[in-house]
Amino acid sequence: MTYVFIGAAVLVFIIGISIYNGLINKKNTVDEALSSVDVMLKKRFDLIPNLVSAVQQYLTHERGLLTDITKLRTQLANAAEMDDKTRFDLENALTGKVGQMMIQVENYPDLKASHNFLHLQRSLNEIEEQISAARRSYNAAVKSLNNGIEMFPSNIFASMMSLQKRPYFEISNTERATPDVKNLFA
Amino acid sequence: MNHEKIYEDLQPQLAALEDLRSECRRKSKVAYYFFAGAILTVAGFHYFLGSETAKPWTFLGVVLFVIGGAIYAKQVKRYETEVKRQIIPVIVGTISPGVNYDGAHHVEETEYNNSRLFPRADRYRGEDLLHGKLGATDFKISEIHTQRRRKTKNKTKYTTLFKGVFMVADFHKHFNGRTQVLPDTAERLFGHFLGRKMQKTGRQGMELVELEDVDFEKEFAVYSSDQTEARYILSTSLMRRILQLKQSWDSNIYLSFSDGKIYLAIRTTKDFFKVNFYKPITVQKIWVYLEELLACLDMIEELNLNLRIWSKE
Repeated sequence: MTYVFIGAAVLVFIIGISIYNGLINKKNTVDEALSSVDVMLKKRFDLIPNLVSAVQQYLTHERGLLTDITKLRTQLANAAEMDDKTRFDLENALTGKVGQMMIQVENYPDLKASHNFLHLQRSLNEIEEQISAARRSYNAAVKSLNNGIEMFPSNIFASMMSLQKRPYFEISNTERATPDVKNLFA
Repeated sequence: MNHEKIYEDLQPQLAALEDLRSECRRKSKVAYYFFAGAILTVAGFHYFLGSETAKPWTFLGVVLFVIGGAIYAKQVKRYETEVKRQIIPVIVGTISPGVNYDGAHHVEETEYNNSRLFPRADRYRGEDLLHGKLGATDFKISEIHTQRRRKTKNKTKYTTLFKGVFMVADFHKHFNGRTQVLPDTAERLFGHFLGRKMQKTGRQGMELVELEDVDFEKEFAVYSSDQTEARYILSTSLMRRILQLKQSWDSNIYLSFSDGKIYLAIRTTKDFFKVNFYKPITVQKIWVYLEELLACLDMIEELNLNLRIWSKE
């Protein structure tokens, strides 16, 4: 009988360890995924001044837009001190504004033909796609962590380890909305 | 492009090929004498000598039969080679000038090995190579058949590893790692929970990537050396396109991304650009060739490989 108890205790202990390690692993995966989102966002952060300076002499009627972009970028310069949620919102707003700027560019054929601009546009496309990929893998990691935090029996461990659910990197409404074509030709 | 127009333009070649076909058929008839000889030898010796003493003579019958077969096969091959040399390249040229066709060659074995989709082969064969540039994409497509040797007690057997269409093309985005998309046999056989557990064991130093597209996840299992890069390659639109490709071919498809290239393998027993030795080439046959050709070349468009909006040109 005692053996049975010892056996059961050992088994519970092993299961406990594996759940604990599993949760730690999930948390670290989220952090790692977040840092890869960071790398991509940093790349875009560095590209934006070049892009703005390439278009500003053409986009004279859209000064406000360019100012917004620069302002958002300045705010994001101290992204490290923000909490995830605020930061994601700011990044989303920036994505939306940059998107709008690229649509406005369509009105300036000279600009569209410029080699320098084409190169920047291709780089931006690439970075946006990489950001989206990094964001998707971050979300997948968050999903797995949040499941671990909420599901039984790992939720017991999670509350003991005081693990917090993480926010998803959601796509903002501005980004999701399709561009208003009518306004473009107004 | 209209197949009837192609058929009309090809009239001189078709007439010459029809002459060749009758000549080959006439020559192939020599084989019938050998077949008849083989039967007569075996039957005759059995009749006159009785089945025990006739045994060594059976061997002679077999030899005659093999010679007959070789003569026949040679003529069939001769005609087939000429059709593939004269007709298919013209059809290919009319629909896409940057593409070449070479009936006797295939995608190289090194490409097959680089894809790491299937184990290395002991016997590697193939035909019907299409290669060149379509839009901005360099590519090679051919049929291949790879086999592995298995030795049993007294026999060597060949078992098929892969048979079907194999494509290698330049991929339009930069990447460094390795990503594979494989048919999800584990999940289909053992259900969602157990199948997932089995997939998690990984493959060749890659880990399982769980993607958001539910339909895609049902059909495929994705492994990669880099979670984020896998999602960069497999954008939401590419996942949809891969699903469509699977539906249009209705067979198992395998994809591998490495060294800046995309490798695509479609399992099928279909023989492309088949030549009929017993019938002349009709306008319907030209249509069939055209359809088969378009099915192969459309893969590049279906995967949108010509979209060049990223820094890779």
